[in-house]
Amino acid sequence: MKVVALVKAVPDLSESRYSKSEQRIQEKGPRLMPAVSENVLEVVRQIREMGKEVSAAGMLFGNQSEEAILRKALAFGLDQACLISGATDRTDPHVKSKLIAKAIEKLGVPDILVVGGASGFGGGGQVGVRVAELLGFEDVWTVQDAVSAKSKSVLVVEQGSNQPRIPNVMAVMKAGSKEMVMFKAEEFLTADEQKPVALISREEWLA
Amino acid sequence: MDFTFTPEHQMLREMVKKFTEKEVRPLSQKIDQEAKVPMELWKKAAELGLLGIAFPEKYGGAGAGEMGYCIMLEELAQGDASFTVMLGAHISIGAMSIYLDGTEEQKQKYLTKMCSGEYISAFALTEVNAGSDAANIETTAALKGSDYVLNGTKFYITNGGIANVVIVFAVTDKSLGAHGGVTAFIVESKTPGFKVGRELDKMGIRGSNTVELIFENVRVPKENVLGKIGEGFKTAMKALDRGRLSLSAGCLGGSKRALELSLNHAKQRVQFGKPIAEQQAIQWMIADMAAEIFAMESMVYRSAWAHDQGMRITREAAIVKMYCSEALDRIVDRGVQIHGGMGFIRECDIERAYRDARINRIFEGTNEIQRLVIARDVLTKGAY
Ligand SMILES: Cc1cc2nc3c(=O)[nH]c(=O)nc-3n(C[C@H](O)[C@H](O)[C@H](O)COP(=O)(O)OP(=O)(O)OC[C@H]3O[C@@H](n4cnc5c(N)ncnc54)[C@H](O)[C@@H]3O)c2cc1C
Repeated sequence: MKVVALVKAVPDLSESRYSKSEQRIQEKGPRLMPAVSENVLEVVRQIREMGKEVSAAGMLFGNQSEEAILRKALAFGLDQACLISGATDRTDPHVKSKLIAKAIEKLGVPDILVVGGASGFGGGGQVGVRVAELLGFEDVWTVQDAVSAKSKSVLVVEQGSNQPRIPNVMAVMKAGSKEMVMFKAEEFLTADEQKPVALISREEWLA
Repeated sequence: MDFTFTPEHQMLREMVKKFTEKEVRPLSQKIDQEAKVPMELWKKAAELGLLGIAFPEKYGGAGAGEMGYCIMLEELAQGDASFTVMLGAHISIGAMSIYLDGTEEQKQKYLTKMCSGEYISAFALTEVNAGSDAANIETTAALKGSDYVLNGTKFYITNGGIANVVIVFAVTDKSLGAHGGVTAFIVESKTPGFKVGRELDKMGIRGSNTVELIFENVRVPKENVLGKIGEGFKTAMKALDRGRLSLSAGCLGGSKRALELSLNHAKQRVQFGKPIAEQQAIQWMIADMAAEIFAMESMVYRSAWAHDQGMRITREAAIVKMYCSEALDRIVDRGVQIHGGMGFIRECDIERAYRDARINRIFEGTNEIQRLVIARDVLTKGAY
């Protein structure tokens, strides 16, 4: 069985400051893996423990510099990681979902896709359902722990829904040498196709 | 020069920090009061692979090197000193002796189980009449048929009362003295004649098990001789060399925790209408603590790095052990002072930290012995 987990990168809120004039967060320091992604990885770990031959990959839509987050995800026991970088916009859920769906198709469509719900940082919690639709998955489940599904399914895991276990030292030390597949957004969508659709800009909103 | 930790080592730190905060620190007061580390905690550490961290994968270890091992002990020491010493004695001197000088069969038989946590190990060198003067040990091992028969008493043995396997140093030929006459043995605690004597009631690291071990005609098969006959003293010194650095990493962790506790208290305790952190006298103590922690951190990781590069670090390890254990003592002393009366009260974490710190200047070679080692090395090989 093949599992793909979507992992997020969120700004470090202990370092970043909210700019009142710009009405947005001015990011400082490298992005971090949010708690909800640990909940996602715990579900993947439980799927593995259900006994079937499972190969699991983690996927991150973000910047090249966020490879460290995927390495951390690998330490939670994944076999492979995949980073999609170079997108012109990283907030629009429509564009994001399209890019992720294309990358998943290229990587090999899994039986189960595990995604996090809202991350607590601008999270609309849309990506899971959108990717399910794009890949033609029939079921979307909101789960706390692993479930066995018959058809190809998306499992949505909300933050705090389970108790992520701490990874083992051996897995941590091996994380550095596991396979990391790098995709560029332009391989899948042209700059035009990457224009935000689902979200409107602040200027448009205010007008 | 590159002073950054590898991504693996950073992740390792994060992981051990989480384990410490979640599982170790909440138990620290209880461990001290009950003078016992719960076996559940040992099992949890084993499941995470912490016990094999310093050893290669083929023995069930994680291959994280001295660097990874020091990172782990630094983090654990911010949770509980007794548990750190329990792991430290098991890994740095117990299991390490087998890793350094054991045969492949001995490693497969014992080291793998020490990495998985199935076996707890101890290292028994010290005796009532042989502490700093370890060459003066009196426990004997006489060859009878295909076994060595051990007789004697060891003192102050960490993990001795809970160990499955003890590395015992005994005299095989008195006429040859320590170098040539002392041999190391791998002794299983279930062997007839192996007796645990009294448990010692301590000032600090109260949860770490420290006992007297008595050997009465303990028959040890020849294949359990560790290293070569007559070369046990070398094994002991090599293992202790390794132990000194990781012990210092524990001192570093203890110091960071003492500073953190002191900062929390200084910011929150109001006297004369303002937090005491605003008093210059308190700020100077905080500055001194921070400076010493910086020095400790620099020397611990520089030496761990040098070790992992294959360099010999005997002089460095002695310097680091001496400096870090003394700096830790100064730091916890300031910590108690910053806490005022509360610092003297049992329920306060800094009180325990103060007691737990003191042993580091004594075991794994007293600091006077470290100074002897350093001076001898500098006098023969020159300064730098
Ligand atoms: C809690 C605890 C755990 C321990 N765990 C272990 C263990 O697991 N295994 C093990 O084998 N041992 C263990 N030890 C023993 C420890 O290593 C010794 O206590 C230590 O080496 C000092 O020996 P001693 O106590 O006999 O002191 P002594 O050797 O009697 O020293 C007394 C004082 O004299 C000083 N001194 C001695 N000789 C000289 C000299 N030549 N020059 C200058 N000063 C000198 C010492 O520095 C010290 O200040 C442990 C001890 C304790 C307290």
